[in-house]
Amino acid sequence: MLQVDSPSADDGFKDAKSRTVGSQVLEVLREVRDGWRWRELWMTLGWREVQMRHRRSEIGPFWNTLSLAFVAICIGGLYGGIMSRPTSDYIPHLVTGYMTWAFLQALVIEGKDAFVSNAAAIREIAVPGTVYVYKLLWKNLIILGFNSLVYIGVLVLYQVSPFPAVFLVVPALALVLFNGIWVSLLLGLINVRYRDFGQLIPNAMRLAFFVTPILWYPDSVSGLRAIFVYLNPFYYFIELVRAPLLGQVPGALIWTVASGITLVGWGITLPIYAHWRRRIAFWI
Amino acid sequence: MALIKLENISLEFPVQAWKSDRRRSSKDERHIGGQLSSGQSGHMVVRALDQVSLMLGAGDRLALLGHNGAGKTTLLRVMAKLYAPTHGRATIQGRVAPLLNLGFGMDMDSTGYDNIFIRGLFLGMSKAELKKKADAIAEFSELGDFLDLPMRTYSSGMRARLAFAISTHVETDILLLDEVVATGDARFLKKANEKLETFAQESKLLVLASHSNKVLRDLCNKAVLLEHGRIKAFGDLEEVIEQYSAAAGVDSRDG
Repeated sequence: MLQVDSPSADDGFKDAKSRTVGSQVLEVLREVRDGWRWRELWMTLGWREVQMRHRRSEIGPFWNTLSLAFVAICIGGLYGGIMSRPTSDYIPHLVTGYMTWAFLQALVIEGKDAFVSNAAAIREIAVPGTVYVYKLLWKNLIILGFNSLVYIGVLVLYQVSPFPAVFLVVPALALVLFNGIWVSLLLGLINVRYRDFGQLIPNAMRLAFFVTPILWYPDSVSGLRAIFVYLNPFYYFIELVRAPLLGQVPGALIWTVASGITLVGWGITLPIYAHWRRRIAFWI
Repeated sequence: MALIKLENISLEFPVQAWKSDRRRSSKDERHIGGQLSSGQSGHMVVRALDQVSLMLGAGDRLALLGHNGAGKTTLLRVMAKLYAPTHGRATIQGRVAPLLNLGFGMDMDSTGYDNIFIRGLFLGMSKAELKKKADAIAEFSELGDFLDLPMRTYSSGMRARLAFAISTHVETDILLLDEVVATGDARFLKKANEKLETFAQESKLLVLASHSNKVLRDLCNKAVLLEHGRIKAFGDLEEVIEQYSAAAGVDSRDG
């Protein structure tokens, strides 16, 4: 069942100097694939972590749903007025944007801890590093599922019909998850070695929340301020998921930039992770 | 098919954020630890394993002997494919089940029964396999109704029983044990020994690090003596125990 018993898995154990960058990158891709074989493990662990966050509470993971509902009501009521947009327009925009943001933010913030928070397991058992990454992707996908109950409520309440564009959310989420893998591998690796890096990320993300069009609309900035929209990678991923949820088709620019970020991200991560991943067990 | 082949492996840990301003070079012979040396830019390097070569096949039951910090656990971790050697080459074929840390894969707030699944999945078993084996594991651990209680209510001996029961019920070719069998009570020790004996008879590979000569004599047929990360002796168990005891200045019949 596991790959470890095939002789090819031993390639990675040769003298570090005799291996070329190409074969190291191939090993990473093999790890990405092998992680899938362990899905029973990471699905179990991911689901357990969702439950664990709300241990011994009666409502359990539905607290995710409730807290998003509070945000929708309070922020929606207040900022809709400030922005002078009708509630029927602002609240769907806010809910879809906010739940997408919560998902993206969790991938980055938990991604940086992909290895650090699994130190005990990494010291004990040799499973592909991607198992820890898939676990956190799965966990946050489940939380996104709980949050989407609010979204469905909003659709019913304001009688928004997102069909047929809503189906584009499937490739959009797939692209986000595919980015989540490299983000977690890269940030997780850096954070194992330089722990200060991990302190920096939540601060940066807090700032990013306010400069990304989630509470506000991308078309309400003009001139130089538009760089916060168009040079902001989060904008493209938010829009990629938010637009189909609201029944719109994301523009070609959104798809192009998001795919470009995916390529660049993987291009940077592959050689770095390939070179350093064997050191993770020493640094952890 | 179980095979462990170590060819001249060395393993160096960089120790970050630790400049050696306190340490004076002591001329006294040290009795613990690996070899310390200064790497580039002044940080310390611990050479935990030094040119270790070893070949083990199916049916071998190896005892690891050595002083504290001789490299026993590090060697087990190399065999578990957790550490890649800095120099040399390690070939490990077959499925490996490490039992290095009893607390691992155990969630204190979950029931013992749930923990069978968590630890079992980590060890590479499928849920279907685990469902079949859960009863056998429960029976072996002798924990009975305690399996329905959270792990935090367990004593350390009870935790050891459960962890040991899970790890030894995994379909595996190589079992790595680090100083753990000694935790249980006499009755469990006996049972554990029987289990490990059948394990060895199925011509699988067993590596056990322990300071208890009795445990090692019961279970192993070969031994390695490690000293500061080097192999000092390899061969027949009795001879190696004798040599180790002579070096440490204690009677080999003790412990």
